[in-house]
Amino acid sequence: MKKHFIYTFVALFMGLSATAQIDRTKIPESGPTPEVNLREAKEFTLKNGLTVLVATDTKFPVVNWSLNLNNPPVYEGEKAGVQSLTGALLGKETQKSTKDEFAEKVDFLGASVNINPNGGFGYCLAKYKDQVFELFAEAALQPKFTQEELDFEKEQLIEGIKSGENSAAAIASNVRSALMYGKNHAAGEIVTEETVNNVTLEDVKQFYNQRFKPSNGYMLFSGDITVKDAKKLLKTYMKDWSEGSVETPEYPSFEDVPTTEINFVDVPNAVQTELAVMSVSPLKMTDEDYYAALVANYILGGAFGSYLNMNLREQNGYTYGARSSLGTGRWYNSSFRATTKVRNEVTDSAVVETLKEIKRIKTEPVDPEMLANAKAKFLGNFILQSEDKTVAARRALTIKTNKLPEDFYKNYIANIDAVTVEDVQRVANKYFTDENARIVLVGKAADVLENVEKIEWNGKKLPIKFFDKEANPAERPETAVLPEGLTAEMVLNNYFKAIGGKEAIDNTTSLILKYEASAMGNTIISEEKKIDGKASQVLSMGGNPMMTVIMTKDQVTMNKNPLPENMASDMQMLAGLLPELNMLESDKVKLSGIEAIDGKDAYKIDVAGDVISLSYYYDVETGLKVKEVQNTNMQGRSQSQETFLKDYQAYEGLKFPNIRSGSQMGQVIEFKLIEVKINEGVSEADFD
Amino acid sequence: MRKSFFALVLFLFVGFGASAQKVEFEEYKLDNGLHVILHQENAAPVVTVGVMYQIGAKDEVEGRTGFAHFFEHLLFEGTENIERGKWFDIVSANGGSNNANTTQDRTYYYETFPSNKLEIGLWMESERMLHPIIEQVGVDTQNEVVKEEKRQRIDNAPYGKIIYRTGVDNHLFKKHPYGRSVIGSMDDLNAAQLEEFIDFNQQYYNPNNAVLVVAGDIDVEQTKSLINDYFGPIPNNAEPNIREDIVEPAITETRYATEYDANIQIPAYIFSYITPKSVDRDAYVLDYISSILTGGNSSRMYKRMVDQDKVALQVLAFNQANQDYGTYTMGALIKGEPDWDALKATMDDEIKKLQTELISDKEYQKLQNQFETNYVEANSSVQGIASSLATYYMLQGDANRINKQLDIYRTITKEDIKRVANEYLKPNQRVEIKYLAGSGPEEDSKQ
Repeated sequence: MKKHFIYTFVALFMGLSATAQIDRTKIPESGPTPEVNLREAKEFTLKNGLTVLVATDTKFPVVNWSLNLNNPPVYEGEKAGVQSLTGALLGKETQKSTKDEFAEKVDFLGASVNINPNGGFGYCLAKYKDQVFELFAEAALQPKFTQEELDFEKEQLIEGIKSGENSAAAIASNVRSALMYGKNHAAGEIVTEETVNNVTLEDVKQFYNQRFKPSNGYMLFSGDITVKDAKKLLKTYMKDWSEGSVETPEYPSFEDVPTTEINFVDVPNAVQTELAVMSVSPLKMTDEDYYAALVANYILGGAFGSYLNMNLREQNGYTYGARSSLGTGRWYNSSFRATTKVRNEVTDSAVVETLKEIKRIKTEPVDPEMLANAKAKFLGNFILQSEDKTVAARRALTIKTNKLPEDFYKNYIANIDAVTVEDVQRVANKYFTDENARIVLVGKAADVLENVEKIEWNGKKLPIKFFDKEANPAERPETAVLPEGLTAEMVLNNYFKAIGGKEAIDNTTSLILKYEASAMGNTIISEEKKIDGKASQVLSMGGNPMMTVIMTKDQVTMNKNPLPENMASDMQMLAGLLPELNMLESDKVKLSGIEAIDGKDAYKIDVAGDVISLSYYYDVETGLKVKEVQNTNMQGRSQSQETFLKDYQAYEGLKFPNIRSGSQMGQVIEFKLIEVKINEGVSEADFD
Repeated sequence: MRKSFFALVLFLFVGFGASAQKVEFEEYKLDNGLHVILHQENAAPVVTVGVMYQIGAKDEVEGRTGFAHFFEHLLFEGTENIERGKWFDIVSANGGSNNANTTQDRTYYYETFPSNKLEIGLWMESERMLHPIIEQVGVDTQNEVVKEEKRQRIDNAPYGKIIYRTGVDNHLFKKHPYGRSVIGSMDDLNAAQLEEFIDFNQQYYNPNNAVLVVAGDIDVEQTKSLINDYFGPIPNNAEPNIREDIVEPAITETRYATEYDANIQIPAYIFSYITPKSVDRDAYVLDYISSILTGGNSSRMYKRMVDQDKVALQVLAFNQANQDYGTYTMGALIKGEPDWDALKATMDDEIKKLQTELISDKEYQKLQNQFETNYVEANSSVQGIASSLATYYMLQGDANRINKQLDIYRTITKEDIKRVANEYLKPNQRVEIKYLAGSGPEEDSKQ
C-alpha cells in the first residue's frame, strides 16, 4: 500500500518535471508526415453526359464551381488564334445583357464569372448561388459574338504578337514547341498576324458551337452547396444544353532526335540567349515512376537549390535563374525541358554546364541529405497548398481526367516519401537525356554563333541546324567581316562628314531637338537640350512631364534624384552636343563588327559600360547612324532598348533623323522630329 | 422519436453555425503571463505559430524612432540555439514559410508549417522570446538592410509619403506619437548603442507582453503541453507594457500643408481626417464610406472625377483604424494643370452628398455583398485567422471580435453613414495636402 503510494508520488513528480525535459539545443523532431484530408466528392451524371462532382464543405458560406469540358487540344491551322479570340469574347456580352450590364450584375453580387471555349468557373457567396449561376449559364450558353468586339480583340492579339516579334523570349516560346512537336501539331503550331487576320466572326461562332459540348465534360462544385442544390441549379439554368462531344483527332507523331543537336534561331537584337535542352517525356501520372520522376526533376532543376541553378547561377553567375520541368501528357507525350536565359558571351559554356548537370543526375547517386531536404520542401509545399480550396477542386478533377486511382492524393505524400536514392538515378536515366537532346538556342548569332559551333559533348562536336523565327529551316546567318585597317575613329569621322561636316559641328554651340509621338491615346513629347558637355531630356505625356534626365560631366540625375555613380559615369558619354564627340576621346569604344540593319550593312561600334553599354550602327554606304541600342545590366537582369533612326534631313547644314522609332513598354513608338533649334534657346540653367 | 428530434436540433445548430462562420478558439494564460490562443482547424494539415508583442512604433521614445521596426529585423539574426543566418534555412528545409511585420501598435512574427512541424515552430518562437542574440554584427547588418528597405519602400516609392503616411500623419497628430513614422529616422538608429537594443529586448519582449497564437491542424491537449514546455519557463524581465492615454486635441480649423515627392510627376490633392479608434463602431462605418467614394471603378468619386469630368487620373482612399485613433485619407491624382479650387469643390460636393442624402438601396446592398465576400476571404486561411485572433485580442481587447465583424457591418444603416459623414468629415476637421512633384524648400530645415 505504502509502496504503491510512493510510486504514484514519483510518477506525479516525474510528470511535473517532464515539462522541463526538452532539449533546446537541437531542432525538434518532426511528427509523422500528415495525411491531407481531401473531402469526398459526390458524383452524378446528367442526361447530356456531363459528369458532376460535388465536394460539400460548409465551413465557409461560399460556392466555387469549375467547368472543364475535357476537350482534346485542337489544331487550328490557317485560323490559328480562333481559340484565343473565342475565349476573349466569351463571358462578356450575352443575348440578354450588354457588356456593361453583365459586368455590373456580377460586380453587384460580389461574384466572379469566367467562360472560355473549354469550360469556365464561378465564385460567389452561397446565398447568391442561384443568381450567379444563372449569369454563368447565360454567359456560357447564350453568348453574343459581335464584329465590333471581334475586331477589337483581334487588334489586341495582333498588337501582342507584334510586340513579341523581336523578343527572344517570345520567339523561344514559339519555336521550342514547334520544333519539338512539329508545326502541324496542336501543341506546336504558331499563331501569327496572318492567321489571326484569317479568323472571321463566322469562324468564332462555329468554334464555339463545335466545342462547347457537355458530354465528355466535368462540372465540379465545391463549398457550401449540396448535391440537391447542384442538381437544381443545373436543371433550372442549363437544361437546354444538349449532348455532344468533340472527337479526339489523330495527332501527328514526334520523337527525340537521334543524337544531341543544336537548333539555332538568330535574333540579331538579343542581349541574352534563350537556352532550352529538350526531350520527349512519355511520363503519365498513372506511371509507377511518377513520384520518383517528380523528385528527380526537383533535384535537377525544380528549385533554387537544384543542380542547374546552383551551377549556372550560384557557381558561374551566368544567369538569374535556371530551372527544369518534366511534363505529363494525356492526349500525346509531353516534354522535358531544362531552360535558362544567359548572357550572350557565356552561351556555349551554359550549354555544356546544363548537359553536365543532366549527365550528373543520371550517373551520380544523389546525396541522401539533399534528397531528404528536397522531399521535405516538396511535401511542405504540397501540404501548405492543400489549404487552398481551389487546389482541392483541381486535384479532384485531375484524378478524373487522368483516370487516377481515387486514393491518388491520399497516398501522394507516402509515395513521395518512399522515393529512394536509387529511384532518382533510375528515373533520371529514363526521362532525362544528354544524348538525344534537342538544344534550342535563340540568340544573337553575331555574338554567340562562333563559339556555339565549337561545342563538344561526349567527345563529339554537336551538329547545328538553323531556323527562322517561325521555326522554318533557314540558312546559317551571315556574320560579315570587317575591312582590314578600319577603326572606330574612322567610322566616327565618316559619320561627322555625313551629317554635315566637322565645320558645321564646330559652329554649333547648342541644340534643341523636339520629338513627338503618340501612344495609348496620349501625345508624348521628348525634348532634348544639348550644349558642350551637358545634355538633358524631358519626356512628357499629355502635357505632364513624366521623366527628366539631366546629364553633366559631374553627375546624372533622373527626376532630380542622382543616379548611382557607376550608372551615371556610363551615361556621361551622352552629355554633350553629340555622343560621338565624346566617343572619339574615349577608350571604352570599340569597332566590333558589321551587321545588316533593315537589309543594309552597318558598322557596329560598342561603348562598354559598367551598367549601361551602348551599341551604335553606322550605315556602310551613307555613313549615317541608323540604329542605337542601349543595354542595361543590373543585378543579373539585362534589358535592351533599340531605336531605329530614319529619314535624315538637313537643318541649317546639320542632318538629323526625322524619325526615331523604338519599342517602349511593349509597343512600337515612332517619334517624329517637330522642332530643331540651333544656337538658340538653351542656357546653363537648363542643366541645374 | 426523441432521437430524431435531437438530430434535428443538432442539424439546425450546425446549420446556424455554418452560415455564421464562427471561428472557434480557446484562450488561457500561462503562469508567466503569456496569453495563449488556440484555434483548431483540421481540414488541412497546416499550422501557423504566431507571436504578437505589445510594442509598436508609438512606444518609442523621442530620439529613438524606428526602434520597434528595427528590432523586428534584429530578431531574425539568431538565438542561443539557432545559429546566426540559419533562421530562414530551417524554415524552408521543413517545408514552411515565415514573415513578420511592425505597425504603430504592435510587432508580429509567424511561421506556417505542415502540422507535423508544430514543435519546430514553437521551438523557434520560444527561442526568439527566451534568448535572442543581440550583438553588434547583427545590428550593423540589419542597419544596412533597414536603410535599403527605407530607400526602396519609402524614399524611392512614388507617393511613398502618402502610402507610408510619413507626409500625412505628421500634419494630423501634433501630440500623439502617431505623428511619427514606423520606419523612423536613420539618424536615430545610427546613434543607438548596442546596450539600448539589449534594454529594449528586456523591456518589451517578455511573455507577459505577448500573445501566442497556434492555429490549424493541432491536437489541443498535446499543443498545450508543448506550449507549456517551450514557453512556460520563459521569465519576465519587466512589467507588461501599459500605455498611458495620450489625447490628441481634435482638429477644429482646417490645416493646410504642402508635401514634395521627387519620385512623381503627377501631383495629388489629399484630404485627411482623424477618425475613431478601431474598437469604435463608427470606424466600420468609415469603411463603408471609403468604399462608396473610391472603392473600384463603379465608385462615386471614380465615376465623377475620372470617367465624367476627366480631372483625375485616379482616385484613392485609405481608411485605417488603429488602437488609439483612426485616420481617413482620400484624394485624387490630378490630370493636366491642377485647378485646386475646382478639385476641392468636387471632392467636397461628393462628401456633402453623403452628409445630406441617404445612399440608394442598390448601393447599400452592393456594400453588404462586397464586405461579406471580403470577410469570408479574410478568414479562409489559418495564417489569416491566426493574425486576426492576435490582433483582436491585443489591440481591441477581445479575440472574439473576429466573430462579430460581419454583424457590426450588417447593423450599419444608411442613416449611420450620413451621421458619420457629418460627424467626422467636415472641412474644418481635416488637413488639406497639396502633394507636389520635386523636392521642396522645407526639406532642408529639419523639424
